[in-house]
Order: sequence, then structure tokens, then C-alpha cells
Amino acid sequence: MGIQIALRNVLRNPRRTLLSLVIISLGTGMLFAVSGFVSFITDGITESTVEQYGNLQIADVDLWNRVDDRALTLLDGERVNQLEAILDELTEVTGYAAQLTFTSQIQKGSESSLLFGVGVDPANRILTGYEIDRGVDLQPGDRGKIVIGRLLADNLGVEPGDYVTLLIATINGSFNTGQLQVVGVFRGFESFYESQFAYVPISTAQMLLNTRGVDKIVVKLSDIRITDSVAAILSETLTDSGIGSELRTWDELATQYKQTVGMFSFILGAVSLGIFVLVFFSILEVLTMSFMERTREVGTLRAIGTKRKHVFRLFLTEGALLGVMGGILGILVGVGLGVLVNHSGVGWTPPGALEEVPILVKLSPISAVAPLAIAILSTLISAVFPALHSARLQVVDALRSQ
Amino acid sequence: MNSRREQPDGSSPPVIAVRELVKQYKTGAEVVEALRGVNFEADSGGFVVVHGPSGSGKTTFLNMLGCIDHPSSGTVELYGDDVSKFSDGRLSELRRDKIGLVFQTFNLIPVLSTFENIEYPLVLQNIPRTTRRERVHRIIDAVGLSKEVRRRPNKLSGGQRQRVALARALVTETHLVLADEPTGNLDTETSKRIMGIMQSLNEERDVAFVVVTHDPMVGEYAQRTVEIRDGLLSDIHRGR
Repeated sequence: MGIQIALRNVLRNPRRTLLSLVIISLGTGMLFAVSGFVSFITDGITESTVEQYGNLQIADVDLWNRVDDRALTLLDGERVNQLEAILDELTEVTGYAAQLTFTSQIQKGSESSLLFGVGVDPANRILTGYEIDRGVDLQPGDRGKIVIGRLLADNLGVEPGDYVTLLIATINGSFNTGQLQVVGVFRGFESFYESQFAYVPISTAQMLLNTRGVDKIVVKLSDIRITDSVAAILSETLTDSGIGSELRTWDELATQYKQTVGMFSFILGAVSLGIFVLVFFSILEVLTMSFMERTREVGTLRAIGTKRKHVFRLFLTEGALLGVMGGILGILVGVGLGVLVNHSGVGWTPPGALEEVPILVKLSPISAVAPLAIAILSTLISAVFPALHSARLQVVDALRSQ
Repeated sequence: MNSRREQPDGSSPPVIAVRELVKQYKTGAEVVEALRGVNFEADSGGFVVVHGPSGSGKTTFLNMLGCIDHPSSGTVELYGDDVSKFSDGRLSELRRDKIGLVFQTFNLIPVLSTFENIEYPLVLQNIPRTTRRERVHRIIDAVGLSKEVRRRPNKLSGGQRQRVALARALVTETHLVLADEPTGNLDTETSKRIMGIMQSLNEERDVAFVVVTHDPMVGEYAQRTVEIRDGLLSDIHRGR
């Protein structure tokens, strides 16, 4: 009967209930939409980060420990074979590829720039962190070819077919130069990536660095969510095998990822807090007024034997019901807002990004959990104080109230 | 439920008894004595009418009997138990189980129907649904509200509302009903009907009634009439 009475009490003043529901549902709807937007952005960042780094990277312990002697940090052919044998045993691994990274000077005529080069196997491209803007991508069997970022190409005045010179320190510390043909210019998400990165066949990178080794094996898994569990198993296997290598997960490698996602989480947290406070104070006022008007009724309930705790529970149930109704309505409002935004074609340019991206709201049931919880919790908490006040009334004073 | 503690001589104690009851109110620096050492007893099946001028302390007296206000000093005994030191929770249980209250302004729960208003005290007592329904229907028949079971208080007349209040007070099968001006908001005919119902319940169910009223007509139903004047109670009539 308690819920029945609470529900009827909630509905007894339709105008006030409507006002409360509008406040709660607008707050919840806004939060759902913002949460869906942040979810879309962080999913996108996560996806592109994993695409850039792979789920895991395995390298010599010294590489992770940043030992200066490059020769010590590389994996030779035997160790690569051993690692590949271990990876072949894991069903969760969908692909792996060796990489050899280097830094060099890139020159075209009088123009030069710092370059972060990545030697990859064109026949086994498990990562596709870019899109070819002009020209073509590296092909299996390519030697002496390079694809560079669009901004770097613009800075150097390079087009596909042109040659560039790489000035590079080999792993022994001597200088080496190489003339490579630009076969393609790629487009990336961030300006830093486009202005300083380039890809060459791994054989070309080995030739430039004067080594037959590689510095890491990049691993892709079937699902991003299993990264940590697979990493734990693989870590143990690597330690037991005595190969002298360790792994790092994508989120350990992408230091900027945590900052960016942290920033969005902070924004979402601030919006959530703002909406919580707004709903809390608005509903506090509405419920206080509603409970005060029923002081005499509280007196009657108490006079006929209702205990304080039951009065408290009744008013709390009213708050909770209001929160649930407002929250559910709010999710519907949020879905409506999301659909509107997704079809509006509005875009924005994230910091450091080169191109505008569409603003999209991810409409998933998971995005509804937090806004719904905040709606119910804020309404419930705002009901606590007036409910406590009502429950504590002296019966005789409450009965005298007009 | 209405078990009574036996007196040393083996007899049952009065349903309600107050001894040297004092109630003081502080209004600023001034102390007003609403009750000044009142002694009173009501036995099972008694019908006591309390008269007195406005502000004489009648309602305060009834509030003390109904355990909805605390005395400044003195004792209130219900079925032989001194309730003066009872906790708030225990007093709630006492009101729920052993006292029926009827108010001048009916004090029904507006969101509940006639049936639900009457059923509510039984819900508080955790009485099983089937028993609840039987008891509610029985009392509804007794007060003549069978056709109004689904109506909410705002769709009932004053007399009907007071009958609902009376039924609510009696549904727990209490032996004590305290009524504060039960006919205060009713016309003469309706008042007579309500008092008639109270009288028959008093006689048939052995329920003690203590009725505070200004209405001289109510006095006609009294077995005993007392008057409160200047905070003191005195008997003015015994026997119906």
C-alpha cells in the first residue's frame, strides 16, 4: 500500500508533478546527450589509438627501460621467431607484425625536417592508422620507398614520385644517408602525426639503421576489452620463456590518450555535477513545498499509528518515484536530442586535429545508466531533508497545522 | 490485542486512567496551565462526554488520552500500563492497536478511497489481506457505507466522511475511541445519525467512547458527563 499511496501523492498535484518531471527529464536528457557525445569521442579516440599502437607491443626489456645503446634494445631473428611461436598459440591474437622505428633528418632540396620513421612489413599491415591522400601505399616487395604525412609533404614541397634524403644514425652510431622515393602522402587525424611521421618497408629501415633486428612486435587482438586479460597471460609466458622481452598495452604506450580521455571525463563529470545540483535544489524546493502542505496529513498518519520511519519511507518513495519517472522521461528526451544532433550534420574540430569531425551522440543503453542513476539519486537525496523534517514532527503540532 | 493487566484484587483495570495530569505551555516568559491535576478513568463500554468552554483544556485532555501529546507531569495509564515513559515508536504502536481517534475535521487520507482509508490501520498492523478485507467490509456495513467503498473523501458528504473516520477508528477492534468534536462539522440530522452509530457500537461492541464536544445534543448519549473548566475536571452527570 506504501507505493500505492506514494504514487497517488506524486500524481495528486499534476501541475507541480509536471514541473518536477520537466526539470528532472531535461537535466537527464541533457546528461544523456552529453554522455553519448563523450562516449562517441572516447570510443573514437580509443579505436584510433589502438589502430596506431596495436593492442600490445612486445619489445626487449631495455627498449622499455630506454637504454641508450640502440643495439641492445633490438630483437634479433631468433627471438622474433620465439615470440611469434608464443603468439601463434594464442587464439585471441588476430595478427602481429614486426616494426623498426627510427628518427632521422628528412631533406628535399634546401628544406629539411625531423622525422619519426616506422619500418613496417607492407605484406603484413595489421595497423592502418592513416589514409592515403595522394599516390599509393607501400606495396609488398617495395624497397627504398616511403610514404609521408601530408603536412610534412607540404613543408618539404614533396609530391608522390619525388625523392627525399634521410640522414640517419645507424645503431653503431655512424651516420648513414638514403635516398627514398615518396610513393604516397597520407592523411592522419592529428597535425603532429601528419607533420612528422613516415613509413618505410622494414627492410629499408634495417638497411638505413644497418641492422637485421627489429625493435618491437605489434600485436592485434580480437577485442579491445580482452587486452588486459591477454596481457596478463602473455606477460607470464614471456617471463617464463626467458626471452628477455616485455609487453606494454596500448593505453600504457599512448600517454596522451589518458590525458585526453581524462579531460572528457572531467567535462562529463562537471556537467553531471551541475545537473545533479540543479535537479537537487529544484526538486528540494518542490518536495519541501509539497510535504509542508501535507503537515496535517502527516499528523493524521502519525495519530492513527504510523511510525516516524514509515512516514520517512513514504516521502522517500515519493521522491524515488518522481526520480524514476523523470529519469525515464529524460532518457527519452535524451534519445530525441541525440537523434536530432546526429541528423543535424554539426561538426567541430578537436584540439590538434586537422579536420572537422561530425558531432555525434552515441545512443546506447550503457550511456543511459549514469544519467538515470543521477536523476533518481538527486531526487531521492532532495527528498531526504523534507522527509526527515516531516517524520520528526510532533503529532499534536502536525495535527494543529492548517 | 487488548489484553489488560489485572489489578491486585483480580479485577480488570480501567481502559484508560489519568492521575494528577498537568499540562503546561510556555508562551514566551508566560507559563499557561491547560490542565491542572486532572484525574479521570473510563471503563470498558463507558460513554463519557467531555464538556467545557473554549480554551478550557478539553482538546489538550483528549490529546493526552490519545497519546498524541505528552503531559508535563502526572500519568496516563492504558489498560493498566503507564504510557508516560513510552518511546515514540511504542506510542505509535499503542495508537495503532489500542486507540481509535475521530477528529472534528475527519482527517481522512485524501488519496485513499473509503475502503482504503478504513483498511489502512490494518495494513499498519500487518493483518493478512483476506482478514483485512473481511474486517473492513464488516465495519463498512456497520456504519452504512457499502455503496461508497470506492469513493475518495472529496466525493463524500460530511456525514459520510465522519462515518469513514469512525469505521477507521473501530476497524482494529479497539475498545477505546476518542472523539474530538465529532459532530462539529455536521448538520443536526447527520450528527444524530453519527451519534446513533456510536451509541450502538458502544453497546454492541463494548467500546468505551470519550467524546469532547460543545454540542448539547451529544450529551444525550452520555452515560457520564464531565466538564473541564480552567484546567480542572469535574463530574456533572452520571448515568444515561
